Amino acid sequence: MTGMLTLATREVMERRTVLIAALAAGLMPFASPLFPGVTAARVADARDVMALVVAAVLGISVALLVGASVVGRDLAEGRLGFDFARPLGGLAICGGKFLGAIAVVLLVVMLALAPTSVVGGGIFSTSIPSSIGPIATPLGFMLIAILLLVPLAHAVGIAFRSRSGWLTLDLVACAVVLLVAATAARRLLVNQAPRLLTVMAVLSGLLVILALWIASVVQVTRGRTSLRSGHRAMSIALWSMLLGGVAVLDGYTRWVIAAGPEDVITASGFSAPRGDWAVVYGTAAGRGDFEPMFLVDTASDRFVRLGSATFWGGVEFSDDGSRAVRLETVDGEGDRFELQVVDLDTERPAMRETTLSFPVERFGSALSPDGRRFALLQGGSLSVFEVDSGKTLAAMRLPDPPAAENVLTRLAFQGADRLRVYTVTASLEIHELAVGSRALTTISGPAASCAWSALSWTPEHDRLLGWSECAGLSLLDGRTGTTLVDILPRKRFHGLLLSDGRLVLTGTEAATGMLELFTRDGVLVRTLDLGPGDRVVVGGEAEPGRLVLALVSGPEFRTDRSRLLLVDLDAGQVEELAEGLVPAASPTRWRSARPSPRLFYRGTALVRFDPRTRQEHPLAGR
Amino acid sequence: MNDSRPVTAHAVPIAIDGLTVRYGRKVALDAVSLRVEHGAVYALLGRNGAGKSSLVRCLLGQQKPDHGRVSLLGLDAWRNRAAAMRRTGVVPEEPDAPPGMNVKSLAAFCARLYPTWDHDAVEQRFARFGVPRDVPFGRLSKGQKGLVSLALALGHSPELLVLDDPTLGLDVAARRGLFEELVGDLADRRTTVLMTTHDLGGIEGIADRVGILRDGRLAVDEEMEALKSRHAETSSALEEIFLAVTGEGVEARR
Repeated sequence: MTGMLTLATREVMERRTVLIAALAAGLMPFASPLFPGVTAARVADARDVMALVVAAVLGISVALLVGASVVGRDLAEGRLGFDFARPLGGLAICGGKFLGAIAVVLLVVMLALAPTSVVGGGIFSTSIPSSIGPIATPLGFMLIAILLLVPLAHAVGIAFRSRSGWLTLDLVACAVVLLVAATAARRLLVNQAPRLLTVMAVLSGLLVILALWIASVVQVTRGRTSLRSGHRAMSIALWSMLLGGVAVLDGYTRWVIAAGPEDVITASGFSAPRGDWAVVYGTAAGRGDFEPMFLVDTASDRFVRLGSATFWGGVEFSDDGSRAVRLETVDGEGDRFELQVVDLDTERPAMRETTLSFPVERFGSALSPDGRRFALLQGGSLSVFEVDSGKTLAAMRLPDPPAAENVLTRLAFQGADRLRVYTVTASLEIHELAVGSRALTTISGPAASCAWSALSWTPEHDRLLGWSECAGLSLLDGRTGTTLVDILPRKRFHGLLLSDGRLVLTGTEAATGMLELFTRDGVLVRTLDLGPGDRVVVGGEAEPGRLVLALVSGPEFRTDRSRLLLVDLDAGQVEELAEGLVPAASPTRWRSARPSPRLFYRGTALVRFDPRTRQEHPLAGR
Repeated sequence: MNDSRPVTAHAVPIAIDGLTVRYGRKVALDAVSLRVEHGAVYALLGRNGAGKSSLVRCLLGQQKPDHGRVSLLGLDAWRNRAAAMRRTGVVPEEPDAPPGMNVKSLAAFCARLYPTWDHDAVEQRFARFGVPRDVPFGRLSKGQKGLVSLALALGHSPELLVLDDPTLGLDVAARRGLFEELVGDLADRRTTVLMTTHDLGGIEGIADRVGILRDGRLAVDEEMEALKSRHAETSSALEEIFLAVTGEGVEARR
C-alpha cells in the first residue's frame, strides 16, 4: 500500500501544473455577469452553471488525457522500467498510477468548482433530477464519468500506441459487442420493457467500467514494460469479459421474451366471443417489467406469443373466433403500428405480419365478423382495409371529426359490408358506412350536458347502455341513438346488456349484492338478493339467460373472499358454483370481447372454469 | 552480509536455465543458460540484436520467457520480481526516471520504497558526480542521467547490480565516473554485477567472467582470464576476442 500511495503521490506531483490551471479556470465563472442576457438577478445561477460546465469540460478532458498517458506514454517512451525496477508489485504500480490519475482528475474538478463554491455555497450538493437517485449530483456523474473515461482512454491509448495486429481484433470485437448489445437493447425496447432496459443498461455500463479496469490491471501486470504484450493481455481480458457479458445479455433478453404462459406470475386475460381462444398476459418471473402476452387455446394449452402487453395495441377477435388481429408497434417506440394476424382455426396458429401499418394516432378499430376486414378511425379519418391483401376498401373523413384523442369511440361491423361508428363526446354521434358503396350516413344521438362514458352494448349493437355523471343510466337504440328509457342514476351499479337485449344491473346495497333485470325496453322485471357481499363482479352468460357473477366480501378486492354464483335470470334462482373465483372481465379492454363466462381469476392466476361441469384448469399465473 | 537477509541470500545471484524468447517466428534467445556467482562481475557481450536486452528484461522480471527459468537471488524473476528488486539495483540502457522530477525528488521517491536506503551515501555520490539536485531529470545531460541512475541503483546497497549497457552514449568523463563508482562499490561490498556493454575496454579491467551472445545463443561463457589465455596466440585484447567470436573480425579482415 505504501508503494502504491508513493507512486500515486508522484503521479499527482508530476501533474501539479494542471491543478494550478484548473484553479485558474475556476475563476472564469466570475466573468458570467459580462455575458449577454445575464441579468443581475440571475448572476448567481449563471455563475453556478458556468462553473459546472467548466468543471465538466476540464474533468472530461483531463480524464481522457491523463487516462491515455498515465501508463501508455511511459510505456511508449520506455520509462515504465523505472517503476518495474523498484520493489513495487504489478498491482501497486498499476494501482498507484491509476489512483494518481483519478486523484488528478478529481482535484481538477474540485479546484475548478472551488472558487464558485466558496462564494455561492452548495454547488457540490446541487442535485440533478434523475431516476438514478443518490448519485444524481454533478459530482456523482463526474465520478462515474471519471471511472469510465480514465480506463477507456488508457485502453484506447495502449491499443493505438502498440500498433500491433491486435488493434484489428479490438475493432472487430468492439463492433461485435456493440452490435450484440444494440440487438439485445432493441429486443427489450420493442417488447416494451423500459425499466428492464434501464437496469440492463446500468449493469452493462458497470460491466464496461469493471472490464476496462480489470483489463487495464492485466495490461500493466502481465505486459509490464512491453507495450505489445500488454496490449495483447489487455485485449484478451477486455474482450473476454465484454463478449461474455454481451453473450449473457443476449441470452438473458432472449430468455425474457421467450416467456411462456407458464412463466406468468400475475395473469390477466379475456376470451374470444366464440371458441376456446383467449388473450392471456401479465408479469413474468425474472423478466422485470416485460409483460408477455399470448393467445392461448384454453382447451389444449397451445399458445401463440404476441410480444408485450405493456404498450397495448389491442387484440381483437373476429365474432366467430377464427381470427385475431393485433396492432403492434413497429419500432418499439410507439410511433407506428402494424397490423398482425393470427388465424386461430389452423393446425399451427402463428402470428404473421400484414402490409398494413398506421401512425400511432388511433381513436378506434374493429374487425369484421369474419375477420377479413379491418376498420380504423384515426384523426377523424375512417378507413376500411382488406386484411389479407392490404387493399383499402374505403377511406374518408368523418364530418366534424372528434378532436380529442381521449374521445370515446367504438367501431362495430354490422356484417362484413356495414360499419357503424360511435363517437361520444358531449353528444352521441353515430355514423354508418356502407363499405361497398362508400356511402356514409350520419345520425346524431342525444346531447348530454356532461360527457358520456361506460357504454355497454348488445352483440348486434341494437341496444346501447350509456352513463353520464349528469344523466345517469340511459338505454339507447344502437342504430339511431335515441333514448329508449332513462334509468335511475344508480351510480354504484354495473350495467350489462345480455345477448337478447335485456339489461342487467348489479351492485351492492347495505353490504348485500343486488341484481336487477330489465326488459329490452328498460322495464324492471325482477330484483334478486345475491346475499352478503361488498362488490359484484359480472362475468358473462354461461348460456342465454344464465349469468355468472362473483360476490366479493370485505373492503379490499380479494379473490379468496369471493363466491362465484350462477344466476338463472328467468327463474330467479341463484346457485353457488365455487369459492375464490372472480370473472376475468377485462374492463379496461373495452373494445374486446364481452365478459367471459369461462375465464376466472383465482388469486393471481388465470383459470378456465366451466360453470356447467365445474371443472377448473389453470392457464397462467401462480 | 548480515543475518537479517532472507534465506535466498545464499542462493546463486543469477541462475538462468534454458531461457528461450521468441518474437513471432524469430528466436531472440535460444535455450540460454548461465550462472553468476556471488561477488562476480559478469560481462555479457554481443552484437546488436544478439539478445542481450531480451535477456536483461527476463532477468529483471519485465518479460516472461517463452521457455526456461530465470532465478534472481534465488527468486523466480517473473513471479517474485518485486521481492527480487528489493535487493537488486538496475541501471537501464536508456535512463528512464520520470523526466519532470528533479534528482532530489527522485532520491526521496526511492527512499520511501527501500527500507535500506542510504540517504547519505546517495547524497555523497550526487556530490561526487557533480549532478545538480534541483534540475528536472529530463533536463540533465545523458552522462548525468546515467550517473544519477547508478546512484539510485546503489542507494539501497543491493546484493546484485544489473547494468544494461550503462555507458552507451556517455562521454569519456561520464564513463570514467561510472566505472570508478562501480569499482569502488565492488571493492567495498563485493556486489554481484551483470553488465551488458559495448564498452569492452572499460569492462576488461573489472569483469571476472565473460559471456558472448551470438544469434541468441551463448557462444562463450568463461572466466575472463581463461578466455584471454585461450586466445593469447591471436590477441589478448577483449575487443579482438569479441570480434573473433562474433565473426565480425573475420569480415573486417577480408
